[in-house]
Amino acid sequence: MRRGSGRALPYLYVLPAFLFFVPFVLVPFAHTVGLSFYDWDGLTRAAFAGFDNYREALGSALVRSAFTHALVLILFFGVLPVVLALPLAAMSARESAPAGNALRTLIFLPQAISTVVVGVSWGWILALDGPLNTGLRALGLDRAAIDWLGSFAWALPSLGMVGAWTLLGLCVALFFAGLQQIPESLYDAAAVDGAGRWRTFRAVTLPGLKGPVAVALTVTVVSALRAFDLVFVTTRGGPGTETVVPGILIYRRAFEDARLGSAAAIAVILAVVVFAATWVINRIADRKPS
Amino acid sequence: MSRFARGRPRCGLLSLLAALVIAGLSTGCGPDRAGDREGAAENGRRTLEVWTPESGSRLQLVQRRAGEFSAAHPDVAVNFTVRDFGSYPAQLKLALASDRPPDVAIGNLGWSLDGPLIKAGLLRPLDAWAARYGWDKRFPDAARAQMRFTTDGRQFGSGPIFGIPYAADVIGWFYNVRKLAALRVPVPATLAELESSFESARRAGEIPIMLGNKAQWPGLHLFYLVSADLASDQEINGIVFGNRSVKWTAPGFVQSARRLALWNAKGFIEAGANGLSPADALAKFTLGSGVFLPAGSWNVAELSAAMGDNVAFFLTPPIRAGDPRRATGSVGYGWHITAASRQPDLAAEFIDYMTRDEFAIELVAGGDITPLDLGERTPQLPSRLAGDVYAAWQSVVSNGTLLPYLEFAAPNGAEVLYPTMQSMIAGHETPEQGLARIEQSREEFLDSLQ
Repeated sequence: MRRGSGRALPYLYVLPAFLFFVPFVLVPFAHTVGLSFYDWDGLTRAAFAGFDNYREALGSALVRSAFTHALVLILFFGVLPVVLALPLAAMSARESAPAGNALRTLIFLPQAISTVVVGVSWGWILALDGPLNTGLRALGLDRAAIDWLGSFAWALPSLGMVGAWTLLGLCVALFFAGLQQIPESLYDAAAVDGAGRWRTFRAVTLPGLKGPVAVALTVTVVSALRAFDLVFVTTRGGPGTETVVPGILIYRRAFEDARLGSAAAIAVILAVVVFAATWVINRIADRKPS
Repeated sequence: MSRFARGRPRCGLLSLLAALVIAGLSTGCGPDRAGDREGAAENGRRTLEVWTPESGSRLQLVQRRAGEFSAAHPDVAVNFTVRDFGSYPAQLKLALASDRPPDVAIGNLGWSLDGPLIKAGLLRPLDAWAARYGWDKRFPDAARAQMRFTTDGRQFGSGPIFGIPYAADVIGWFYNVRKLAALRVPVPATLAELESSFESARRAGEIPIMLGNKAQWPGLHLFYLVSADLASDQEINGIVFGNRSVKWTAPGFVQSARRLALWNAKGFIEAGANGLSPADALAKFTLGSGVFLPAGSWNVAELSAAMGDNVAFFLTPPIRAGDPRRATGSVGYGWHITAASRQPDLAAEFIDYMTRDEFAIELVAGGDITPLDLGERTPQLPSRLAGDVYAAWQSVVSNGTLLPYLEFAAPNGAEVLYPTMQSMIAGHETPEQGLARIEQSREEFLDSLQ
């Protein structure tokens, strides 16, 4: 922007978005932060509690395990789809247009399905007598047929796989769009230099996709941290507390246990973790290649 | 809410925004509805606002009876607000704390809903009307503690009457009649016989106990069927009514949890229970999976519709043959008058009308159970199953062996009690560890009441 066009102008551009951002994001967030310093049941007078809610949350084994589960989900919701989507996007870009389109549509489809439908469908697929186990038994793998979402060891990874399946399509779509932005001349140059497939991928494709990868990681990592709907529909946090995530705790404390201050404190901690994660991702993405 | 919404906008933009938001809100909740009630009162017609979480046949019954009340009182209209059971507590709290609270509302026992409402001063003690209408004598002894709360909302089970019940529930074993007969096993008369029938079922390749524990609370209901034999009255009542000398780590509870873990280890419980919803488990049972289904009396209508005479019911048999059976159940949640109601006498008259014998007769004729002793007025029961459940309920009421739900003791069910119960059943956690954690959470709650 040229200097001298008025300092107010940029702010004017931001104003329309800001008008919505303030009442629907900033004010509720400030309200939540305020609430987190009170002991409140939603009905009687709130009592100021200082940092008690934070102390309780950070000291609680259940809250800590909820955040640990969210970190595990990051591997499944974020890292796994990004790693799988890179070759898939590269492959689909090389296919003829109809085949590539069909492949991408198929992979993107889960994104278009509501999470509740995804949860109910996978709940059925992963049930003890569901199609997955029926298939395993048909292969003679009877011992591998277990109650996936009801198993203390496998419930969280199973949920993670469902999330990965959902988010893979988004990553492929983002990377495919990114690939279109890489000039063909770079590939030609690489070919002239005698670079093989792997070398071309590392030297041309990957650096060209840095932006889309950062966007994909931001979206998927945030969706792992704030996971609620999928967990609520498939396991409700069980078995035991094996799939309890921060969202489930916030919901229960706010709407079932009437501990709104405690719920707000966990929500604020979650928000801080989300900010930190997105900051780290963007810092790495912005780094100039050495 | 207002306590926290008191923002102090520093700049003009923010105050403009605040003004816009407030303007939007005030047009949204227009004054048209606020005028309703007063307008109605001027015409000489009064409207009784009533909230309920009921659904299905019970809701129809309640609304039909309320229609009869209106017919008998031409100047009174009854306006129902119906919300689904799951979201009802949160919504009722908001409605009661709002500027336009209802006159009458159905609550839920103990800390699940009534406790917080009474603590917040939103419900009225009903002793004055209880004496007038005989509510204090209408219900069985077992029910009386469940109707009471201290006015400060800190002690469940004593103090004035706050809720008037109208239906009842009891938890027991439903069983597949033909499957049990095919196993050549008699209907169990002792706990040992019950366990040996599980063993017979397992050996025959059947699932002994069909359970859908994905929702996590059904595991606790299975626990009730064991603690009915292994835990004492003093242990159970102590937990429910906040007696701090009784703890969850008491021997009766440890033995009960141990027994459930043993049943699971022996393969008596449906292997996929943790991934199965209660509704799916019920559906599987009606389709012939499982010999026994541990569940509450509220499932009678659905089960007898699906299975006819092939389903029957009994309460956990005693350790010693012939001893009276004990069972967990309640006279159900009650009707309440809100503190803000401007027509409490009318509300009380309505509640009395809704909880009399005539209502109970219709309830029983539909296959449900009632807190009232109908004696000779007991109607024809609609199915064999309804007959079993009705007789079982009558026996615990007349023997004084009805036990209260342990989950009424504290509002920590979803976060601690249910998941821990699930872990203990699966053997993922020992009874000692799990019960100690449940007790710790209960003590934290009791401390918070002080």
